[in-house]
Order: sequence, then C-alpha cells, then structure tokens
Amino acid sequence: MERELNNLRKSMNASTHKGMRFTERQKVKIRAAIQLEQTNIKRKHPLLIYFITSLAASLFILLFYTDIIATLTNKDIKQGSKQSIESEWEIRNHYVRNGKVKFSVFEDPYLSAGKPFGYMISFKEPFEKYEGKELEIYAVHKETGKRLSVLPSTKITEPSSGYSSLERFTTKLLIPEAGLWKYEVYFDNKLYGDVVLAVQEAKFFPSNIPPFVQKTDFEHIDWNRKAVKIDNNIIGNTNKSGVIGADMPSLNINQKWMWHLWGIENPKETKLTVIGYHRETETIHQILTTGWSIGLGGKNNGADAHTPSSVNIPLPGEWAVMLYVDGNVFDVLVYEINN
Amino acid sequence: MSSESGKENVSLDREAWLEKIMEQYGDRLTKLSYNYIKDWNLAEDIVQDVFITCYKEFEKIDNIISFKTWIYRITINKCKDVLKSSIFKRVMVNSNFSPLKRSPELTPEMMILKRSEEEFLSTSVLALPLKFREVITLYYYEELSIEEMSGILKINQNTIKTRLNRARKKLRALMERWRENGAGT
Repeated sequence: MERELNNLRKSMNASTHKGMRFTERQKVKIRAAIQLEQTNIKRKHPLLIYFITSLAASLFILLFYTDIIATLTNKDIKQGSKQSIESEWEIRNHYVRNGKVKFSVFEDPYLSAGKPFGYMISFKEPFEKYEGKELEIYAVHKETGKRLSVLPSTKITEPSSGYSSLERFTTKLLIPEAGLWKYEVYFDNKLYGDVVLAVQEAKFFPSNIPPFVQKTDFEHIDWNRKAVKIDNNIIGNTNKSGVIGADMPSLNINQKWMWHLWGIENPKETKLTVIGYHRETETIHQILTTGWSIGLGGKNNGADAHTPSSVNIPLPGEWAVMLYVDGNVFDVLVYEINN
Repeated sequence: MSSESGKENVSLDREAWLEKIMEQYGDRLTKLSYNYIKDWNLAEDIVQDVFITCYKEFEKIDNIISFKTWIYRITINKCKDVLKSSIFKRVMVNSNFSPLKRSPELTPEMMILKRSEEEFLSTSVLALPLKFREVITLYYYEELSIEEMSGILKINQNTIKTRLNRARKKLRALMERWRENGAGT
C-alpha cells in the first residue's frame, strides 16, 4: 500500500489531476479581478456619499414618521373622504400635527365612568382659527366601538378669559363606560384632532377606605344642614363637631384644620376618621394628608376633644365631611369650599 | 523563507511578485483545492481568491514565517468555507462523488470502467471522507511532512498519524477488492 501511496502524486497527475490546471487564462482572470478591486477601492468615496444620504433619509423618516402620517391623513380630511386621524389607541393627551401640538387635553385626575368630569382643553392655534366655529366632541369607545356625542355643538365666541386664544377651554363630559376612549374634536363638522384617554371603572370607594365606612352613609346627606359659625372661630354643628380653619384657603394646598368634638368621653383612646365627599362629582376623597384617621386629644375651646390636622381639599364646591368615631358615624359637616 | 515567498529581490514590485507566486503556486494550489472541492471550476475560483488575498497582503508578507505554510493554510481554509457553504451543499450534493464518499463498497462504475490501478487509487483517494482525504493528499500528494501538516491544519501530529493510518486501511481494503474483481480487464 505504502508503495502505491508514495507514487500518489505521480498517479494523480497521470489520471485525475492530469495536465496543468493553472493556465494563462486563469492568470488573466486574477489580474482582472485585482484591477476591479482596485477601482472599487477608489470608488468607495462616492459610495460613501450614497450611504450617508440614505442614512440621513432614513433617520429623517424615523424622526418625523408620525408627522408624515398626520400630514397624509390630514389630506384625507380636506378631501372629506375619511374622517379618522390616527387609528392607534395609545393614551395621549396631546394632538400633534406637522410637528406642532394643536391642542392638549387635561382630564380630571379622578376621571371615571358614569359621572361628569371636568376637562381642560388647551388649543394652541391663534383665536382666529376657532372664532365663530361650532365645537363638538365625540367619544369613541375602543372596546365596543360605540361612538357618542359627549359635547353638543358649542359656538366659540370669545377667547378663554385672561388668554388671547382658547388656551383654557373647560368643559364637563360624561363617559358612560370604563376603558380607552378616543375624544374626537370637531370644528364646523371637520375633524380637528383627537386624543386617547383612559376612563377608570366607576368606583365609589378608594381601595384603602376603612372597612366600617358604608356607602349608605353617603346616600342621605342633608345638604341643607350647612356648618355654622360657633364660638372661637369654630365652624360646624353646635354641640357636636366643628373645625377651626375650614374657612381658610384649603383648595389644593395643605391647610391646618383644628377638629373639635363634643360628647366624647375618653378622647385619648378615641380615633377620629374623616371622609370627604364631593357633592358635584359624587366622589370620596381622603382630605387629611396623613391618612383617613387621626388620634384625638383632650378638651379645648369648649369642646370635649380636639386634634390639629393638615387638610388638602382637591376640588372646589360643596363638601360633606363625614366624621366617624370608633367605627360609627358621628357627624356630617357640610362646607362650601371655593378657595 | 524569503526564497519561498519569492521576495528575495527587493526591487520586486507587487505585480511582478504576484506573477512569480502565480507561476510557482498556481497549479499546485488549484490541485490542492481540487482535492478538497472536487470541482475544477470552484477550485479555480478559490485560487483566484487566494492570489487576490496575497496581493492585498503584499506589505505584510515579510512578517510571515513560512510563506508556503501560510498560502496553503489560506487555500485550505477557503476550501473548507466553500464546503460548509449552503450553495456548495445544494449544488454538489448529487455530484458523481457523493455515493463514493459514503460507501466503502465498490460502485458499479468503479467495477465496469476499465482503469489503470493508478487511476483507481486516485479516484479512491478522492472518494475518501474529507478528514482522511485531507491528510492523504497533503502527505502523499503535496508531500508535506507531518510537522508541516500540523502547522497548516492546526491539528495535533498524533491525530494526523492516526488519520493517516485509518485512511491507508480504507484504501487498502478498496484496492484489494478491486484487484479480486479482476481489475483493469
């Protein structure tokens, strides 16, 4: 075997590898290939320009993509053929067209279904653009596809007070169901823009409400039994409960309120629970900044028990402050708080 | 070493040097590639690639310890790349050599064709699986030493020896069968 293999070179060159396999033609091919490669290197410069151009173009498209979509769909509106601007359902408070914010919607932070909630819409274009036009708002429910007129036609006659245009247009809208809603804003029957907002499930009590607080407690509030002035600047219900500080500005700032209760036998072992109920929105609020409940102290200002606290009122209007002592309804203080 | 790379003459420029190595290695590398690829056209393409690589690496050639080892290695690596590539697998899967590659039995063609023993041995070598074909051709055809092969293939010398032995055994079996079947008649 070894003998044959030692002659393998000879054998192969005589059979399978017969002849010269590297010819002049092959050399010419290689020289040509090298030539081509050289010119390719020289050509790199213009190619680089093409590359940079395409890169810039794709970056441009990437950055302004949404605007392009908006512009394209905008064309549709002008033609009146298709009155939908964006099909996406991502929550957004702003409507942007051609890289400019056309309007922003700021909804009530407690926005939920079944009750009217306040919205502030800030339109960004000059007032001439809106003047004399009919504003309408429709809401489209993502889940069911339901489309409702939530704001009937409203004529725009003057700019927001204190502003040159409609920077502070406020309205109240009622959304019947929870979920994602698209608010379509129309001027003179032409779609102007839209925003997508999430509407919470109608929920009466916040999840951390003390367990003894019942919904029935809020169903029979006597709104005519308004708090009255008692001695020592206390405002409340005579010989039952009252607050010093309830007439001080408390809207969206922390205000010191001093609670006074009558008819408490053992104040130091008693806890006071304060539940704020806003009449207009029919919503429950925690108004003590430290929690739902607070411990009581001894006699003060003629009352049997008292405690200082920090209070923040989130909304203006009529409030029923429900007081609980030891898990039972103690009193209801009705205030009108507007500042 | 410098005589291998053909750069002993300092005044030699890139083009002249290329001509020289093409003259010196062109045929050998083509046949070396054929031993791997078993297709003359593909082998030519590979060798063209190798020489273009050489041309580009002209400045660095002086740093290479053994030009022959280097040029063999890049050729073999390119061959193996082609063997692994999907195009090669798709195109070559039904080529004449495939059945031979797999079966140690003599195929009807091998029996019928009147061939010389030399031709039969050459065909049998080419029909071996790659790892045996590789060591046999490098050792007997390219007449490299075990040490050189170890450097080119980056394989342990003992592994090479083992593979050579197993390849010889396979070839011997084939040759004996062929002789029994009345070769060349």
